[in-house]
Amino acid sequence: MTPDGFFVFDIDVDVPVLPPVSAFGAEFKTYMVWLATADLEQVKRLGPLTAGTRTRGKVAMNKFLVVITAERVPNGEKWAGPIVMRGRSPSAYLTNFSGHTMFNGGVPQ
Amino acid sequence: MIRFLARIGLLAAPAFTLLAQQPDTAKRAEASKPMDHEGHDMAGMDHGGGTNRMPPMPKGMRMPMIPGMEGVAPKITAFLPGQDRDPASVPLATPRRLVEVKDGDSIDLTAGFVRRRLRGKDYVMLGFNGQYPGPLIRVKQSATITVRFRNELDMPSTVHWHGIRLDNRYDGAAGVTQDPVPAGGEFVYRIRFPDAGIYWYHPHVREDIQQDLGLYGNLLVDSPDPSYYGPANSEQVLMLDDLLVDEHGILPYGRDRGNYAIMGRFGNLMLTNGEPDYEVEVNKGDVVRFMLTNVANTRSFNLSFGGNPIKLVAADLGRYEREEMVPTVVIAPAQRYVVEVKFDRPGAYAITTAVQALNNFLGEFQPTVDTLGTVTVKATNTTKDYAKEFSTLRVLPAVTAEFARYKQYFEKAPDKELLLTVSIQGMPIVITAFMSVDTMYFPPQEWTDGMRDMNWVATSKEVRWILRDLATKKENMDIVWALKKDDVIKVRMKNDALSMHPMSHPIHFHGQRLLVVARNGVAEDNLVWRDTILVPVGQTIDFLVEATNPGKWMAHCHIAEHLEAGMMMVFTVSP
Repeated sequence: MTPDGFFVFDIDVDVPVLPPVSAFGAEFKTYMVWLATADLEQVKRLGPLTAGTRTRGKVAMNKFLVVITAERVPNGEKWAGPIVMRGRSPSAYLTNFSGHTMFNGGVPQ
Repeated sequence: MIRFLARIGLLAAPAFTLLAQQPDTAKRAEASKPMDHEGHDMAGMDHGGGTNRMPPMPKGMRMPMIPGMEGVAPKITAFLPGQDRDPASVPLATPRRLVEVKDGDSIDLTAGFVRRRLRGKDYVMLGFNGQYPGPLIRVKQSATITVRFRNELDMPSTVHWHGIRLDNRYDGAAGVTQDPVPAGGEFVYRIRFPDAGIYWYHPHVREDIQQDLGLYGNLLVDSPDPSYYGPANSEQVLMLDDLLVDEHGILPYGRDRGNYAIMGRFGNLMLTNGEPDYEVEVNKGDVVRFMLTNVANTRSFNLSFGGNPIKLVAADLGRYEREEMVPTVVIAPAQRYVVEVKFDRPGAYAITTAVQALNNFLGEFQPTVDTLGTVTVKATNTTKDYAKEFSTLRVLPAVTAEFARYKQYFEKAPDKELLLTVSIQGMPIVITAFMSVDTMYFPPQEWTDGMRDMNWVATSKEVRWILRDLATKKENMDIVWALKKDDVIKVRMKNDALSMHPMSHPIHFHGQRLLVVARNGVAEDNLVWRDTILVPVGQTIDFLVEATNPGKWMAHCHIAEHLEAGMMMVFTVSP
């Protein structure tokens, strides 16, 4: 836990098979794993990714995305290349129930 | 298109199917309007303050009433001990006193009604010896004392000596080790103290009521080793609690069965040693040893001390193998921690519990901070500077050597496997429907009651919390593990993330020591003896039970409402 109450999650990214990153263009040099809040307000670089090795780290965000991109440089502050894979934390699936049929007279939206 | 074989592993609860739909803006705004729950016509509600009324929402949390909830109320007879008494006729409680008890000595402990004044309002509550908390009983390790307990409540009670490895017949577990002590009755406990540390006592009859209303106290057991803990300038023994109140007073309980049976009864008035405004003064540079006990029915705390450095020293039944600096202390109901905190700068520092509370309706997390007290650091310099000792993280080979005896059991297959789960049946259809769609995500730890109306309605008639032995398929009190003295068994406990409403559980074993060896298959790297293990949602915890103490013992969830809803079992240790 952090002092402000965030759970600290262990992240473990394992992609057994990847094409050469140059498949996205000769200028792309590395795959990179990023963590971002669901609203993209905060982005954290977790580290480079290669097939068959694991990229690990920690994140203290309530709802977060895991984004894998192809990058030209290994040390960017935020991703600049194409997104090639993404996932999200289970908490990121939480939505407002006000749109559910229970709350709008049974009329599907 | 490029295709990947990929696995992204997140050590969190699994995702579920997305069921909710996105509203249009106008409907969302209308539906999201906060509603005043006290304005609703709830059957059985009495806004005059007398009986069964819906609790207020947690601080800062807003959600609309679920359609169809009008007229829904818990199937309980509202009950508040002492409600018929004129508060003026009940003696005002006094702060707890320290009672140093020598080996062989006897003391009296009486449970009775007290008047408490909290933030200017009077409440009829309960107390031991007219004090809040109960007397702080200080003894030396290996001592044996006698406690003459007298029950002056209007309901049966007992005293359980939490964490103490005492003789089975004095454990205070009503229905297992003794009959409940009737109103007006007495019982004599003889208690021996084999282990140093901080312990506590509380009733083991309707804890959801009796403990919640103030029946708890600490036992401080001193080691003969003067360097058992590192040096400190002062020591603060803190009991952390919360109480559920509204403008009419304390919210009632259920007379024959408990409610708040899903998530437990979260309070909204934080109490430290029974006080909403706990304060302590220290000198600049002081190291303060805090001995912490969580006595709340259900709330876990995520504690920090105004940004001052925290050193983790000991837990339930002893010291860690090595001291370590920690950012916070997460303490679940019934657990204890010993920490040292150094205060280097003058000023006022709040002791806070800060969490990201989940609003189940909005699907959002809300930062929530509650203050449990204030440490005022004076400009006066400390009388003895322990800066060097505080900065040294002690490694305790004697503790490690004791655990080395148990390493042979760390990797073995589990002898017993328990699943922690829940069965919910017979709830009003609207609640069942809402709960069915509210399965998107459950946090590892519930910090607050984000579905208070549904939780209020849920009683132990509809909700059954379950300990299930996976080998025998037996559940709760049908389980009877038969152990022999000096057995060491490995138990694997899994908290079912796929039940209708999973929650974390602090699981307490009476009369023995427990040793957590792995969490989710990852070995613990700093061992400590425990009697209460917090099992977050989705986690699997491997722990050893060291059976040293013969008798018939209880094991149960220490969320009082989960215990009331059946989450308990029995194990025997034959001589």
